[in-house]
This record gives sequence, structure tokens and C-alpha cells, in this order.
Amino acid sequence: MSIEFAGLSLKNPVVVAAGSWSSNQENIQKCIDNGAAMVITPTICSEPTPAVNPEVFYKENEVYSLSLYSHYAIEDWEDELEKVEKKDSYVFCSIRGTTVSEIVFLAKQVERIGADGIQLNLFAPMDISLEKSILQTEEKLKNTVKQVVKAVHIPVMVRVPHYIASNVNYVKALNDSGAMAISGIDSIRGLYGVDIEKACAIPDAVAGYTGSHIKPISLAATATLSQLTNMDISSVGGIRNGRDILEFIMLGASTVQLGSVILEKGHAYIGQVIEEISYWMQERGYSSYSEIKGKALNTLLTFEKMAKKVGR
Amino acid sequence: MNFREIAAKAGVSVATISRVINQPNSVLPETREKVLCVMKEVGYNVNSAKGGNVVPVNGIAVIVPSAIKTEYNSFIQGIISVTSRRNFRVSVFYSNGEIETERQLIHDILNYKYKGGIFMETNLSNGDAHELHLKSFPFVLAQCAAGNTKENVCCINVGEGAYLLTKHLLELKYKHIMLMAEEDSAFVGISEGCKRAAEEAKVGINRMSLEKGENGFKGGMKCAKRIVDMPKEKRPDAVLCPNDLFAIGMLRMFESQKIQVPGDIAVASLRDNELGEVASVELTRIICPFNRLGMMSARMLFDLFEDEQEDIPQEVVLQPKLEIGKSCGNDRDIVAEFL
Repeated sequence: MSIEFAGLSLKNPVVVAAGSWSSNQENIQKCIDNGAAMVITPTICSEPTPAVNPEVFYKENEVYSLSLYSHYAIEDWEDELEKVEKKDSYVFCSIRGTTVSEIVFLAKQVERIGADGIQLNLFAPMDISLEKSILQTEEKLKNTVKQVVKAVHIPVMVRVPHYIASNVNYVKALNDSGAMAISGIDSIRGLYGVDIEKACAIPDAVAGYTGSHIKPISLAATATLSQLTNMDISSVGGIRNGRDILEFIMLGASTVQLGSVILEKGHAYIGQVIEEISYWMQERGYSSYSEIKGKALNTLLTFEKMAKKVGR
Repeated sequence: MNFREIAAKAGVSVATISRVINQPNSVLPETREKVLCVMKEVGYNVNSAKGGNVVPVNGIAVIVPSAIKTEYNSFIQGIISVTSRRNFRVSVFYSNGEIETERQLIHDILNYKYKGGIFMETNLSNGDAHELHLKSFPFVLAQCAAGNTKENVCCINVGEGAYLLTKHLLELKYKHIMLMAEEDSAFVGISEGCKRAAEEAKVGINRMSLEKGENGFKGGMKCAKRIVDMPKEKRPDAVLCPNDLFAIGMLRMFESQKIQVPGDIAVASLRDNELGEVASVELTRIICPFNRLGMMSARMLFDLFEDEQEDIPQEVVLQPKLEIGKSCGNDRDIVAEFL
């Protein structure tokens, strides 16, 4: 039961999101061996990001990540990707730079080392500096993405946070940028808490907050994006099981990304989830994911229409 | 058939094709065999590949103006972190910022058959660059004037750094800002960045000229003394220093003269270096990514070694970052994160 995504034919809609669970060849291979149709590397920058310890705070499905970028340089990724046996899966490289020319250069570099596609990570929750420069206006965002698209021969996907997914002007700019897909949502700027005895923030820096609690935000973002764009949507944020995946597809997603749940349950869980959705589809007689894609969208009303309906 | 087509036919990346030619031992034997078979099948002659037989040794020459500045060391470290992964050696030469020395060095570099070069803050003319092209010598210019569309250039946008820092000072309500600057290769970009921020705020910026070599610790002490000796009403309320070392010199002199930083005068630095960490007052400064500059310059050079690259020169610009310390009166603890 294949699905078309960003010009590629994927064997199923399950993608592994960028994160520590795809941090190197070994982990990427585990994702592929367990059936993921596509794996996204952690975000590759011009220089490797130093590791911090601990990188992840985890409590009852809440994840606070301080590891947003890869600890490997491009040269390391060249070695890692060469050893990956892709089989019938795809590997996208997530990238980030500080200027348009740096991002374009990185895009060409990851294409050179064997990426099947690119995810542009422009709106990182821990570093919002780009939003004061190359993302300051819709036009600047469009220009940034356009130049990357022009520079490479592989599909480009842009990852957006929830506030951009519902920003009509920014999504329109992305529609005109040449990007083939959009993924959302990014993790959210979060702090775990404050130790009130020591008057001390936990953790020491603002982290990327994700986990099942952000699923409602992500679902709303997917539904909104479905209304605003014809780009393929890859949903991410709080997805834990097959049922979640089907919910996102019914709101218009082409692919759905698993991330922090792999931390908790291990790579083998990817296979279980794929089995779960295949079983559900077969049980109900569906032969293609396109039959359920966006199926729930027409039940989503504007507030005014909902009020009238309830009133009746 | 070119690299990209061979890579597609062999089911490997373009990078792997390059390594089969330049560093065959770094490729898995079965992958190497597969690539060589495809090359043979399509009649591709490995020895005719550009870069495959130009020079017997894998050496890269790097020219920097001096050995003293820590930012140059950081730049060189960045280069080495990339070249060492590809089994290339790096030789570093010092030009003292003099064009004739640089020309002589390049002459020697060509004689020693280095495979390519990276030239930092170069004074080479277009004519010199043309000569290198005629000799098919691949090179990258690091930190030369942005907007050089004829050569492969990698640079930090120092003008944007100057803009961010000046704007920050103006937002903190400093009105009499003085730029301490030597007329070096970065001067035009820096003064334009300061000017842009000042024009937006509709104020002017004064400048104190520095002599060549006056931009270190002693220069900072000397310039601070000049400010101390000014009539109080003519003193600036904030100074933009060329670098951290100069700023430390200024802090030392101000302390000895009982002038408070930032109470009486704010001190900011346009270029960070490691020594800035030990400043007596935590410095507000621009972080210039010299290690990254080295890494990117080396990658650009390796691109030139491959036959796949387009003829259009590349320009990669890196963005510096504002780091807010205590030397300019900021009292918000995490504001730097939002800049």
C-alpha cells in the first residue's frame, strides 16, 4: 500500500522524524530494518553541535529535548550514509544555516553525500535568530526556500512550527517557493519547571517540548495546512501509535512522523505501528491510503457554522 | 558521462565517486568495485578526472596574515577538521598582511604542487587571481570583501555584526558612540554596518582611527587613555572596539583611572576571541564563527577538486551573533537568546 510523497513513492506513510533515534548509521538502519518508509537525520549544520548531558528530560510522555542539531559534521555524515543500506526506503537530511548562501551550500553538500531529500529546519525552538533575519518576512522565507530548491535535484521539505502552520501569508509564500512538502509541527519552546527551593530553572536552557501532549496542536496544524496548501504534508508532533497516524492522514497528511515515542519503546516499535495501520486498513477494506486521506476534513466547521449546527 | 550520472548508475552518492578516485582506501571494497565496474562499463578514465592526477601529494596551502590572532588559529582548526577527514595535509603560511609576501608565498606554493589553497584576508588583485586560474590552481578566498562574484569566497558578514552591535547600543540609549577602527580589509563592512544602524536611529557615530598594529591590548590601553584625556563633555558614552583583546586593554586603563564600565562608559567588541572570556567585565560582543569559516572554506575547496562543480563561483556568507554581557549595561539575564 504505497503512497506518493514529494515526488517519491513510499511503501507506507510512516516516517521517522529527525532526532536522537536517527542520530547515526546504526539508528537509521534500525528504522529502515523495522519498516520505516523514510528516515530524517538530525539537523546537520556547518559545524557539529556540542553534546550536552543530559540531552533529554522525559516524564510521562513529555519530552524536553536539548539536542536539536546533529553532533556530527557533514564529513561524518558522509561516512554514516555510505554505510546505510536503504533497501526500499529513503533518507532525508535535515539542515540549518545562518544565511541563505550557507543553507544553499549545505543543501548541495547533503545532496552530494547521498540524501534523497532535504528537510529545511529554519524555525528551531531553541534558536529563533533566523526569524530576525532570513525569515523576517514572507518574501524572505520564499526566497530562502526558492534558492535551495533551485540549487539541488532532490525534493525539499520545509519544517514549520505551529504558529507558522496557521499563518496564511507564510504558508502562501511556501506554496510559491517550489518546496514539494511541508512538515509540522516543530517542538515547542518549553521549560520543565523551576526548583523553587533553589530558585533555579530546569533545564538550564529553553528546550524543545514534545510528546503526546502536543498532538492536539499538531492535529490542528495539519488540518489548517490541508486548507492552505497543495504541498504534501508530513505531520509530526505527539504521534504515539497507529491510531494517531490514521487520524493525521484523515486530516490530510500524506506521511506521519514518529519521534519521541521511539525513545520510550525502541526501534522495533516502528514495525508494530506499521502492522497496526496495515491491519486496520485491510480490516475495513481500504486498498490505498489515498482513500482515507483528508476524509475527516469536511466534518471540520468554522465556528459560525458549528454554532448554527449546534443551534439546530 | 559525469560524476552525477555515474553515481546514479552505480547507486551511490557523488561523494562516493569522488572518494573512489581520490581516496580509494576510504571506500568499502565492494562499493569501490561496483563503482569501478560502472566506470569501466561507460568508458570513464579515472586518470582523466580533474584532480585525479594533478598533484602527487594531497596538500593544501593556507595563507593567513599573522600567527598572533586567536581567530586565525580557530580558522585553521576548522580547515584541519575537514581536511583530516579526507587525508589531506595542511601547510600554513604567514603573509604579515603584505601583498608582496603573499605573492612570493603563492609562487612557492605553486612550485611545491599543492593541490589547492585557501587565502585569508587576502590582498591579492584580480590580476593575481587570474594568474592562478591560468595555472588551474583551485583556491578559495576567506574573509575578503563580500560581493566578490568572480572568485569562490567564504566570509563572515562583519558588517551585519557591526549593525547588530551598534543597534543594541542605540537601543540601550547610548547617544555618543565611538567606533575604534583600523582601515583594514574589514573596515568598509564594519563602518557601513555602524552607519546603517545609526541612520535608522537618526544619530551620528564618531570614529577614532587606529594605526596599523594598534588593534591589540596595548592599542586598547592607549586609546582608552586618549578618551580619559578628553574633556568630559566630549567623551563618548560607548565605544565599539575592533576585538576582545583591545576591549580588555581599554577596561584595564579605565579601571586604573577609576572610570566605571558600564556606569561611565560602555565597552563593546566587534570580534570575539578566547581571551574575551577573562575580561574583568563580561563583554558584550559579536561572536564571529571563524572555526566554521575554516570548515566551509575547506569544503568549498574540495568542491573545486571534483569535476562536477559548476563554473559559477560560489559565495557563502556566515552570520555572526550578538552575545550580550554586562559591559554595556544590560540587566536582563537571558536577553541574548532573543537576538
